[in-house]
Amino acid sequence: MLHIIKYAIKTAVKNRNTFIWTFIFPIALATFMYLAFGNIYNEEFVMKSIPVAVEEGEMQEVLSEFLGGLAQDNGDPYFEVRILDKEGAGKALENGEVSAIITSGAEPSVIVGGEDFKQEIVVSVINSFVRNMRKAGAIRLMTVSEGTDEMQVVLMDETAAEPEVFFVEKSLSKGPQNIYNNFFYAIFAMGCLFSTMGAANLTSKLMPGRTSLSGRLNVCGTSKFKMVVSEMLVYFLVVFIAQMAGYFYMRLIGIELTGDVLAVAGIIAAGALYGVAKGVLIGAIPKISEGIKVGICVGSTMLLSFLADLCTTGIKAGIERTVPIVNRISPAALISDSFMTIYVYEDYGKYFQNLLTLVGMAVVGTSIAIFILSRCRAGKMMLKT
Amino acid sequence: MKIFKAFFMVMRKYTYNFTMYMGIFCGVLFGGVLPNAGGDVAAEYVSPKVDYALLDEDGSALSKGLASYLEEKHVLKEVRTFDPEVLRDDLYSRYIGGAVVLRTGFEDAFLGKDTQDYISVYDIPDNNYAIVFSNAIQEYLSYVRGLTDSGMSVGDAAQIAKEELSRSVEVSFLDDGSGATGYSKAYYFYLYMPWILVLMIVVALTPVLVRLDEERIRKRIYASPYKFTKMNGEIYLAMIVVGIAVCAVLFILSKMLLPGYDNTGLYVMNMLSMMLVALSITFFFSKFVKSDMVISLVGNLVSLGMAFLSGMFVPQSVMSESILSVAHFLPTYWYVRAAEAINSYKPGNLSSVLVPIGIEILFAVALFGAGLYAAKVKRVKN
Repeated sequence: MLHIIKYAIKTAVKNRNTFIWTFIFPIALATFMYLAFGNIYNEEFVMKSIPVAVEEGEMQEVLSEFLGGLAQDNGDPYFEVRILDKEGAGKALENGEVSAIITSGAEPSVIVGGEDFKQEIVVSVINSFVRNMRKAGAIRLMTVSEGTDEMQVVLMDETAAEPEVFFVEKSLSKGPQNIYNNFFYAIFAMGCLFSTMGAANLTSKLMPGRTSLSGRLNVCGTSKFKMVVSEMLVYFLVVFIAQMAGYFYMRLIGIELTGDVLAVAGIIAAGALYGVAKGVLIGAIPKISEGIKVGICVGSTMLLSFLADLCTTGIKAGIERTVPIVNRISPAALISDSFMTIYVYEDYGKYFQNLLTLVGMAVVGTSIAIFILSRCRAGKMMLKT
Repeated sequence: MKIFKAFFMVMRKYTYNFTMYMGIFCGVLFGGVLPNAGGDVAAEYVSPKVDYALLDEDGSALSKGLASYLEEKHVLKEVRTFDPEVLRDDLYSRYIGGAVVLRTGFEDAFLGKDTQDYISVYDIPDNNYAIVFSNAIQEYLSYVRGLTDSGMSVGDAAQIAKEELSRSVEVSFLDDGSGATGYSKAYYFYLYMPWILVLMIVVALTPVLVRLDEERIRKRIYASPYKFTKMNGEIYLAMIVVGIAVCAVLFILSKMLLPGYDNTGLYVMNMLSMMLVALSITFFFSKFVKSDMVISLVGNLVSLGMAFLSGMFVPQSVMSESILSVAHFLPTYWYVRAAEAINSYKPGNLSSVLVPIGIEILFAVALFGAGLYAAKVKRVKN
């Protein structure tokens, strides 16, 4: 068996194109993704001070003091306020320097450049400001001559007063909640599943009647079990090392992945084992051409990776709500989910459940493949020698 | 036209690749992307809404008032259960942006000014939309508190708070609606097209070209009176025929499943130019890669890489300036630019569509030229 392993290693390394691309694939794809949206989550969704422009006008001081006085739970200001003239504010909004403009007329209004939650926070705060302003009017603190100052006092009092806390928000997860990480998890899933193609080639060469090499392999005395397991082991190691290299590279360039290397190694090992086993099984299917085998490998990998959120977020969640069984058996979803469980769950129950499912499917697939290959020889297929 | 015919003879073996990718593309688009995408272009500001789940165990006037207010302001979603483990998954996957549980005795606790044990708000910490959602609850309860403190009953206060908080200041877009965003379903259908066109054509046609370029066949062709340019011309022509057939199928699909969308001609023109780019990429790669596995890896890497860097999977508006500058050197960037121009196309502004399409065609010509050069170098070497 050691002899077979030694030659399997030599073959894998000498097949340079495939070997190199197995390593390049996760690294290159991760780089593209990182360049495209590596910081989007922190830039777009995590709450930071929102830049706003207050247009010059009668209410500019009240508005800027009101907005500047609002602070988040962590002490950071809600808004970065700039007082600008109409033209300057318009330009700032157009260039994306501010998220909204607040006009300083008798009743403020908001000008926005789009519709997202940052703008909505501005609108909601200005609504609150206007309600307080009306309240100030209602209790007759605003007079025609000295209105602004009086109103400012009331508004500042409203802002300064400690608001009643009705509830404390709770987070159910322990780690970062970056939904875009799903794309990176899907790279590992795709990388592991792409090993099906290489693995399908491994068993194809063991099929009697294919090539002169397959003929020679079939007449020698070594058992198919030993041949398949040795080839699988070597290819598994290549895929595992390539994916782990991808993981370390992703961490190096700053992608927010867990630092739990052992847990990641477990996921990648289970995923690679599944990918190789699936390839071995596909390669062992008799009576279909190599081209169709490659087609099945590529097609199923693409489809499963898409279902695990490779191209857009939300697909996996949609499946979870409609046909959850698909996510329980889809290898790409299991790999991607396992990464997520490290962040989201307190314990490793679901993590191990996913890994066991992958390993279980790999064992079943390999057993079927070995059975088919053994039967092929017994079936006295034509041997090319 | 011997080589033209030979191309199709070889290609017959690989027809399954097209069928498979077409199936995947349709599954991806019609099963995953289009149901959640697209709509009319908004002319007025519409508040973004948070998807949330609510469990009202109290059933009091206040809890019903809060539920009704949130339902008006945001989008109530059904969750399988309020078990924190399931809610955790739903929050992480963004099926919901927040969840509220109002426990029995919530209203009494509110009147007793100690609500914290009777209301649970779950959300994703430090998130913009979590802030919008929790602010809405806080604002409502604060408003009701103000009214009940002045002697009003909870029932009346809950009703008035809902009406009063529903009023909003005037919100407008910069330059009368130019800031309004909205994309039609047709836009999304065509937006994803380069990903699948490049992938399908590279993975399905490269093996055909590799077979035609096998040494024993190549030597026979070189020994024949076929000219180098004629041979490559016929190969490219055959590829164009295949490309047009693929585009025709995709176009028919779009017309069957998305009837009556605007600017069909422009979308098709954009698709055809991207098809030329995909063919040229295939022609170029076929001179360098041989193994089926490498073809698949390269096809996926190129198609996904271009899709991510050009704003197909992630909008260009949220990508950094530096990446967009690099993306200018990718044909798919111009495809997305053209698709965006077509989405908001108004008669008289044809150049905004034709310029990016023209640049795509230039990319196709350049890549085809590079492929020809590689073929020539290889020929001389042989």
